[in-house]
Amino acid sequence: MTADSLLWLLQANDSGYPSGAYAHSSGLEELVACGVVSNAADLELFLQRQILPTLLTFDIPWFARAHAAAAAMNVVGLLALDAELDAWRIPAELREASRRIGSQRLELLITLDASPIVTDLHQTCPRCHQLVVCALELAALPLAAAACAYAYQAISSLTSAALKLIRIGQSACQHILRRTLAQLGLQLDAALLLEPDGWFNPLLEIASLRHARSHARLFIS
Amino acid sequence: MTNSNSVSGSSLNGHLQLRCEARADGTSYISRQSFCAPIHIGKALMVNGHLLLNIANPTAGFFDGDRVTTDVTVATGARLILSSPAAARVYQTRSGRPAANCQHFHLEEQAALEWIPEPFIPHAGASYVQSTQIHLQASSSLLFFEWLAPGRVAAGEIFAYQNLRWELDLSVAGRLIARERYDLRPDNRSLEALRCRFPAAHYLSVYAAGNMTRQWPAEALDALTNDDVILGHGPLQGGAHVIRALCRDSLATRRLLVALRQLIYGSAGESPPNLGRL
Repeated sequence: MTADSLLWLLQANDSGYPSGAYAHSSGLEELVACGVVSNAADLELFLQRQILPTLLTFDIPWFARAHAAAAAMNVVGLLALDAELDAWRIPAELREASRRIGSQRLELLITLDASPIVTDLHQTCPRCHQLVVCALELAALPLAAAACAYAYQAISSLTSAALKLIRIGQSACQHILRRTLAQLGLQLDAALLLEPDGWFNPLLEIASLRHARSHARLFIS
Repeated sequence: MTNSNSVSGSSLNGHLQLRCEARADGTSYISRQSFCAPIHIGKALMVNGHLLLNIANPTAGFFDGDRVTTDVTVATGARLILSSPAAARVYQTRSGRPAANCQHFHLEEQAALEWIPEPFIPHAGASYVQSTQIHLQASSSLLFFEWLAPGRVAAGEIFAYQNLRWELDLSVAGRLIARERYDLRPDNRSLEALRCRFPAAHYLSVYAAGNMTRQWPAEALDALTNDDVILGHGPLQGGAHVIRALCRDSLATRRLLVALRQLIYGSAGESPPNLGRL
């Protein structure tokens, strides 16, 4: 780990960091195709009413557990969290996307910043979920900062995908991202203390399941 | 059995315990049963080689404080269908306490279970907790339907319930392959995605495993999406599959249910057993 964890955070969250996330829309492409998200206003509503609640009720609390396991060098704990994520992520495409991005990040991590726990995890489970690898990448950071970085990845990957899916400019996307992050920031600390719980989002599940069966698509997920 | 802790002193603490086994000739039968209000079961019928059992709720539904524990085991080689003759209802809570329904299903090797209740209808002000655990073996077969209605639509009650807590774990050979945890409340955004496509959407969820997924009718399932239904399906771990659908209304949901049974049973080389109502 570089001596300055802030520099490492900037590098790992940079859009040029080759995680492969740019190739995924996490179901957004199908929601656009079926008319649920068709403009900037729809996108903002989707992020704030469907994505943020999922992050705050499940992903962030789960990330907090993974971050604690990573900080304690607890590979067994990380593997248990990783395995259970498969059960929570019902659509196969979302599971696979998370493992693809995670594996690319883990491959890069082992070359950029190998450590005993990184090597151990890579040898035991080279296709870890993105959430688990991010928690490991950012284990040296305070939990709140690391969780912010993970949530930022999740939200910004959707706004980046939206640029290719709906008629929206980069500035408009940044405004939506800014307002969504502001909402996230208000609730993040409380979310870190929650027990992980699910969030009912059948439409996004259906969209992801349908996207996997689509004949023509721009994104992998 | 009444529960003296309830606000009315008359809430019920009931149970259903069933064990279904297969005789040497393969015929399924109920080898053990125990139940008490608010649960009642009818006589079992043989339909297409499956044992069909209807579960009724003689009190017409769940009231606050009611608790029901269901424990069903389908033993090696047995084939059981559990259904219900009418919708399950949960009424307005007066005490603020939820009704609770805890369901355990254990399937042994080569066992088959279809769980196909009528819709679950939460009335205005209802509070309800449902926890379901399904344990399969690698050779078990499952077809598990859940139909969640928005409320008493004809009475103008659409998503007017207080709170529904939904929990489900599905495991195959000891490995957890699906976990659901939801709180559905009209006073937060948890119904946002449900209402997005259809304002009074009915939600249908299906888990299938074993023989029911050997020849998964993927193309035919894709074709079921139309102006009244949006449906997705896909594989889980352990060879199981999931189907999720949102439907415009109850009629569209019932049509979909019939079509799904025909497709899934048909792909498994069987006719869907006649439930006498679908």
